[in-house]
Amino acid sequence: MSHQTFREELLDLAYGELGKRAARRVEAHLEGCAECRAELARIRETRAAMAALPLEPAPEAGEAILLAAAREAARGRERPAPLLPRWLWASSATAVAVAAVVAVSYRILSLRPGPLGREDSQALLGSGPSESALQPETEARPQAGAPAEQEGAKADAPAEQEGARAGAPAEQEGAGARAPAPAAAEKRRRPPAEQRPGRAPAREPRRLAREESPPEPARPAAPAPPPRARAPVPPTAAQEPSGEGEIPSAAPYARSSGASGYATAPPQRAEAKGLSADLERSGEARSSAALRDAAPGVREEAASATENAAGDAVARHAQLHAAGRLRAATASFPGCPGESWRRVESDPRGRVVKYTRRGRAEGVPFEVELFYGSDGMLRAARYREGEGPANLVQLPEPGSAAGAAGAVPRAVLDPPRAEEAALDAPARCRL
Amino acid sequence: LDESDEKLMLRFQAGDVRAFEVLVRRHRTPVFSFLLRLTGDRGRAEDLCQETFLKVVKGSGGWVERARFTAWVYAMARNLAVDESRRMAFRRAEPLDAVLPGGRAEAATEDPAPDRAADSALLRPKLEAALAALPEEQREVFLLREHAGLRFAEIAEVTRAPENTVKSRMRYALEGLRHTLAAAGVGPGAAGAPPWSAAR
Repeated sequence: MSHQTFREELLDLAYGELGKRAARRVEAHLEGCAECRAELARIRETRAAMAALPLEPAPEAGEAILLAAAREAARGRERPAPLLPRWLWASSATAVAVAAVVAVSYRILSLRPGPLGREDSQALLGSGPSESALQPETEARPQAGAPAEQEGAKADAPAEQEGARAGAPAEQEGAGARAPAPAAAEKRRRPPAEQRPGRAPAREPRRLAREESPPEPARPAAPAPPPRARAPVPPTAAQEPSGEGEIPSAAPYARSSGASGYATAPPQRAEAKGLSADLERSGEARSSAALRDAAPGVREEAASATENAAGDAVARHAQLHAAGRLRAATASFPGCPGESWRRVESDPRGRVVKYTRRGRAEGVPFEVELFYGSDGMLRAARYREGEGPANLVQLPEPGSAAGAAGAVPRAVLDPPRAEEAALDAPARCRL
Repeated sequence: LDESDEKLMLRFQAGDVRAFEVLVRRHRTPVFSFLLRLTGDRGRAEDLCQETFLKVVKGSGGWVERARFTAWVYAMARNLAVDESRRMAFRRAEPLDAVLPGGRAEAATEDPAPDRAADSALLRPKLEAALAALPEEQREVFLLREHAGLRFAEIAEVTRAPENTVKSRMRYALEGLRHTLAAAGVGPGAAGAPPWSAAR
């Protein structure tokens, strides 16, 4: 073997990837080759120096969510009802128990940030005693996202008939009301008692704190987007959006699977973090970041204060974001210069809070973030061209370009109303 | 806890959630570290890390032991990061190819550490900076080898590059790191550990 061959094997040797014989050969060569010895020493020294770099601990918050997803997946595997022996059903008591075990709620979907995470994760995290399934209706309301879910749920699980949930909120039991996910429908078809017998105790106090917050009063749903099919997702797909306020994720345009990066982003704080990257990029997310990391109580307050923030759409977004209550979905529009990419962030009731659009204006890439007030009107816009500074303008006159004053091209202040900023709204290819 | 990842994965496949819990505890921080240092963005790294493990959950049903669990997980993490990076319309410009200074390399082994950075608090930012300064392709290979403990052949599969290319990138990465660290006053042995103890 040549010197060069040995030299190339030094890396393998340093990383223990040579077989014993090969290693011995290289070591024998090393004895007579100062150059290779020096090379090997350099490799080892650099590794030694870099080994002082510790691992970055992953944030704790995500673990409970993953374990909840895993529990849900494990339950899902036991689900196929046809495999269950018929005799099991002979005993009603057994049937109830089995039903509880195989009841695949799509609650995992509620891991997305937002009220589902807040309301339903108690069950997801295995925290609570099994709620009385017959509690009176407290909060159930038609969900804007419900129709969209029907399709997606069907694709995965024919047994799930979501229509019942969407159509008959008054029927929802207490637990169902807390969980607008398909579990509600599931439960309705099953004996109410002894739901989920194997729930473990709570794992994450912070989440519990959020979950225990009082339910919101019933109120009319936001204008519901039309039903549409969603990509089929196995029951374990915790990252799929679900529940109230969900944004329909399938646009009539090519929506790259990747574009769901944020849409499918992991739930809860994870989503908020993803969004925060954008905010922080503009250097205006200090308060948001602070809120994001605030104690649960603060986050709840932030969420409840949201309704009072009508005058400041940016703050409204920041608060919802900090409270983990935003849902985001993205779409891309190939061949559409004026809007090659879009992200829509909505509050739990499906109202668009922020609409981000990227495109090119006369060849120059731009990004505009439009913030909508709780009245659904465009209230603020942040605009940036290329890597230039971001200009934020408030729009005192709802939906008008007054106040933009050249900092933001009027053409990108579109749409003026939140309801036109839906994910599936036609792409704005022209400026 | 010594149970292999693959066995744990099979147990999880059979419905044992605790097996998954062990996997998460074992790998979440390394995967997060990998993603953080690959992307340089904590928020994105958190998202991607969660997504990675949710993919583990999602893919666990059909998982077969074709490759090591770690190779599978890091392949997903890496691909998620790459996909997301491609989607970013305003992504940062990547650093140019590694500047590979030559010549000065020989002296280092003989020299005593010129400036032993005893304080790891001072050392760490320098190490982070040196890593961040690597071109992404090299950083990725370095992290997969050092953080994830993947073998070069596995890294080749994960990054879809020939194994020789992977090794070249690793050499360049090590060279680049060495020079950056030397320029920052972090010499051989600065980590305070004998070189042979570094393998992880």
